[in-house]
Amino acid sequence: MDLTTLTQGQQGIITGFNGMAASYQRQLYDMGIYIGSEVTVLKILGYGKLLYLQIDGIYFCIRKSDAKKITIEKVG
Amino acid sequence: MELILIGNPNVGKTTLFNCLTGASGTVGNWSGVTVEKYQGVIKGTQNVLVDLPGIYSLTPSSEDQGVVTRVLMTESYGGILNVVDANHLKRNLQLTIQLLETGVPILVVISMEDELAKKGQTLQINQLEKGLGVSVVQQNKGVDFLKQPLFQLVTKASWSLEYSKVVEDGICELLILLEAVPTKLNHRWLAIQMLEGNEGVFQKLNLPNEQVFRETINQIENQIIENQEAQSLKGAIFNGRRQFITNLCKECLKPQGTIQKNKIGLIDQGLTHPIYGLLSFLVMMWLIYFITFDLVGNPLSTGFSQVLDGWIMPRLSQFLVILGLKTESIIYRVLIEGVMVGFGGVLVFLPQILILFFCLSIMEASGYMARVVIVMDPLLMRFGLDGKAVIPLIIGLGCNVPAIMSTRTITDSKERFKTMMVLPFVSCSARVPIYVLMVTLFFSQYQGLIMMGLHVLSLVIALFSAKLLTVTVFNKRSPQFVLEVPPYRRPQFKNILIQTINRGTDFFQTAGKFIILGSIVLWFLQSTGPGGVYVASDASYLAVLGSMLAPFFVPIGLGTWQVASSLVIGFLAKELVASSLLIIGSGEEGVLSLFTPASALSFLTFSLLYIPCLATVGVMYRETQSLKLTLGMIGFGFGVAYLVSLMIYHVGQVWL
Repeated sequence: MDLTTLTQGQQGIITGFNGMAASYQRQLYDMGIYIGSEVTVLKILGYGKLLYLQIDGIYFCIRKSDAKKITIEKVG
Repeated sequence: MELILIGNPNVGKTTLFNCLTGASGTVGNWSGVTVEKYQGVIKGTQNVLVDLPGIYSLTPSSEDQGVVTRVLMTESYGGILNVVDANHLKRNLQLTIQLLETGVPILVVISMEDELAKKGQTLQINQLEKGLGVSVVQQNKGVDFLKQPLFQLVTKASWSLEYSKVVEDGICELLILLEAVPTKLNHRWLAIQMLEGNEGVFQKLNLPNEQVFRETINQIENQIIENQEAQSLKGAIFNGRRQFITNLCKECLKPQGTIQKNKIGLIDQGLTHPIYGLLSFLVMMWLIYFITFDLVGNPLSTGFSQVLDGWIMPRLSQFLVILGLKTESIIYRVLIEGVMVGFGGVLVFLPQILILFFCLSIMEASGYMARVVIVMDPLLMRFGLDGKAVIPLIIGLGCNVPAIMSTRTITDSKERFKTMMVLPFVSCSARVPIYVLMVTLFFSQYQGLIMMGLHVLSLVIALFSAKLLTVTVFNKRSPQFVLEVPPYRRPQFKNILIQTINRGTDFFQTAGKFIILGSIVLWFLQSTGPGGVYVASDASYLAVLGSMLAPFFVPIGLGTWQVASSLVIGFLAKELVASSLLIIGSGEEGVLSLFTPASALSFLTFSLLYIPCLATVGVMYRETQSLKLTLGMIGFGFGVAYLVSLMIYHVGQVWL
């Protein structure tokens, strides 16, 4: 299950980064998007192209194509 | 003693800098606004404070973030001031631990405590101090703490974080390898950074046996994945720090458990909406341009040039005469007609640039710019550009030079170069006088239409060129886009002003020297010729050069020496094309006889798109450090300009 399967308002726990460049993974870690973090999808933007996320009280925007590479476990 | 200021983006680092030094420095909600090395003396002391771009980690992920790692490893400094956002303690402390591991004396400054208080939480400073083993001060308690002698305040941590067994084994193996490396840097820190994948460290150390290091690191990573400890080495190290931080936060954050808002505000709903967001952005842009050019910029520029021509120039020439220079001497002429014209060109241009920077700084500091990036990213992505490219594109409408400099915040180097390549197509304000002249002479009925058409054309060409470059030259890697969306904050006027002045100074120095150089070269080209000095305009080197180039421009309808030489001028200084064309063509009548409506359109298109000015080329070379890329950009621009003008000329001949 990847991050794009969550709909607006749903939460999940990140379980892995799949097929993602190592440098991009490191960047996500450093910014606060890490394996084990609890993520909330706040909104899907730009005609479904972007995801507006919240992790640990910080807001992020990532592209749908990258979100597909983030595996999650749904919460609740 | 020199101190360096390090912290995450948007933590109020630069506010602290301005507070401590009284002036000079920049602030913004945009990651990496402070790219240049800004330094200032801390008030009441002799200590120098250096402001650095905001970073999330010591592993650089963009050009401006790389600056921090470079400074940390190569410069000499006495200590680090680490600004930590109390709201996002868990993330900020990841960086703090990396900094503590360097073994450099450090002082932690806590910021944004008011925002923490709004969430009903308080931070227990003494607990944090105990956990970190270094002094912690609060920014909201004032900055008097720095009046204390710094050696008492900035201390080394006397402990080190212990990672998991596999990671520690890896550190040991690297420490043995590092024994043979001559460096003053802390070995344990180097080992950990290497394990984390910090390429900046490898670049700096330039190890002869780099392969041995990399193989060792790979082995350790495999072991971690095999043990199912984490999915990467970075993950294992991150988790080690995370565990320590989680325990520390339990001690020092009261009460525990943050109440997290899982909704975005109504304003954000609107400003990030694909339609309303785009509309508000367009309205905002229109407003900024109205203020920049019509309301304030133009009257100021006119005033500036009146003062320059009517007051400064006569006095300067009098002064030069008093100094003993003859009005017909070359030095006098070069100074007045070369240097001063160039200087005036920059000066007249400065008010507009400053206002543009001022508006952009407000957009950045308030957090609105991040929303613009969100709205524009899906659009720009189609053309292979990053949403962050929108900022350089906006600045480019003012001047291409600061626009190219502002691409430093784009993470991916290929994305960044691509943005730079297409930026010169964005019609800067120095090109506007050319449009005004040509449109009044040839298309006075369609003034607005042609002006708008040119701007649309420039945008279309820039976007499609980006697409073209994406599918041809820069197609190797998949782009990496992640944006932190900062909360809305009220911009502080003082910070905005300081930032505007800094950016303006930066522009003045960078662009200024090239523009003045261009004006001097232009003076010699115009005033000297095979026949000596002070020749008629049709006997100058410029005319010779124009005649040589003219045949090449015949296919696009610009095959006279006058027009060809004005294109040469356009390379040296775009803002002088219109006035020079009037001189070369001997007045409006002359210019009218040089063009047909079709060739006038072709000239407008070509002027819009061809080689950018000398200053842009210069800054392009400085930023890329690559002759190949710079020449590539010139060639690309020229090729596109020629092709598009060719099309427009031939279509124009049929229709006009």
